[in-house]
Amino acid sequence: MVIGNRHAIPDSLFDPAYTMASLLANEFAEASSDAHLSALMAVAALLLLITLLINLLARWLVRRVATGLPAGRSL
Amino acid sequence: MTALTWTAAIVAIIPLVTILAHLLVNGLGQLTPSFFTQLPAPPGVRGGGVANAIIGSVILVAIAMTLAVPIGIGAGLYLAEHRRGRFAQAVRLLADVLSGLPSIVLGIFAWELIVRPSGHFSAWAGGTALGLLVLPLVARATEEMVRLAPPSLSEAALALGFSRWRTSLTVVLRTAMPGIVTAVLIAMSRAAGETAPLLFTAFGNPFWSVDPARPIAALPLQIYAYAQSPYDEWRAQAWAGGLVLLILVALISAATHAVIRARAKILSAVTPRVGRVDA
Repeated sequence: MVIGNRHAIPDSLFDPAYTMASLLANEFAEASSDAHLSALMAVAALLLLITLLINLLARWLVRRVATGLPAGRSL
Repeated sequence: MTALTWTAAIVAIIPLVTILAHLLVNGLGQLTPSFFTQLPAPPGVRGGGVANAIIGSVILVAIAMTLAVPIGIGAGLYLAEHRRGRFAQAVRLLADVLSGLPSIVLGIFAWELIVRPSGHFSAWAGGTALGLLVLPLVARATEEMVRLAPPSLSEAALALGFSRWRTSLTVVLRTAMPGIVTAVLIAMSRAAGETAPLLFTAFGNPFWSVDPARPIAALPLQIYAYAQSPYDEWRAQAWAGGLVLLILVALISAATHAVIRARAKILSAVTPRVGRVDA
């Protein structure tokens, strides 16, 4: 809500911008055409994919750090 | 070093204190008895309240918890008992993904699952979205708590001829219960405060409604709508709504601590006996 909701790539961190989550919150209830709805669904799917990738990355990091520790001190 | 950590601790509580001060300054004046008993007033009319939003929030959280608590506890128990299995690993990963997912995506999922087929918004859809939101929280917390339960207890139960399911239900879960109750209460306050999953599932409702098959009001939704409105009376009510929500969450949090303390007392009374059986 406070990010500004602007459909453009911001030039500076102080410019209004948009996040995927706030885009969904603002436009999903008003999406009337099937294409619009599908596009918003794709944004949601992309968010899911990003979350999945970050979680996999976190797991990989934890495993790497854990194997670096002396034996018997695994996390 | 102590000074540094002390400073960090102070900085960490500044946002909460500022928010509380803001809410008190802007919202306290609106907190009349009618705020809790009346329906929202049209813009320009003084007074009015959020009674429908409060009951709506209660209904939504109740639906969410009915969905999330049994499934969450069951899943957590499975994860704890089958620690190393391939399936358990996958479930654990997916539960973490689900709890890291932006909550709006769960709203869209519930919309596609319930609102679109049924053709209208409903409390069922909103409660489902909130339930999915807190399901991984309950499952992962249950898993951690069950893992903390001493294995000697379940071994003793099995040695006495208890079947596995009775051991799980009456011994393992009972021991882990304080932690699970804490997790459920935390999940409740999380569900009570979420706006995004409700935007196109519960949708909000300016009238009194307790029918779960129809659109229903919720406190966070009401605050969201009021805060964006161009009317001074509504914006003032948004502050008061925020204050009520904060008080509600604080009450749940206080209940959590009370549960932990009470259970700690019971457990410390039980534990010595367990120790003797072990020896």
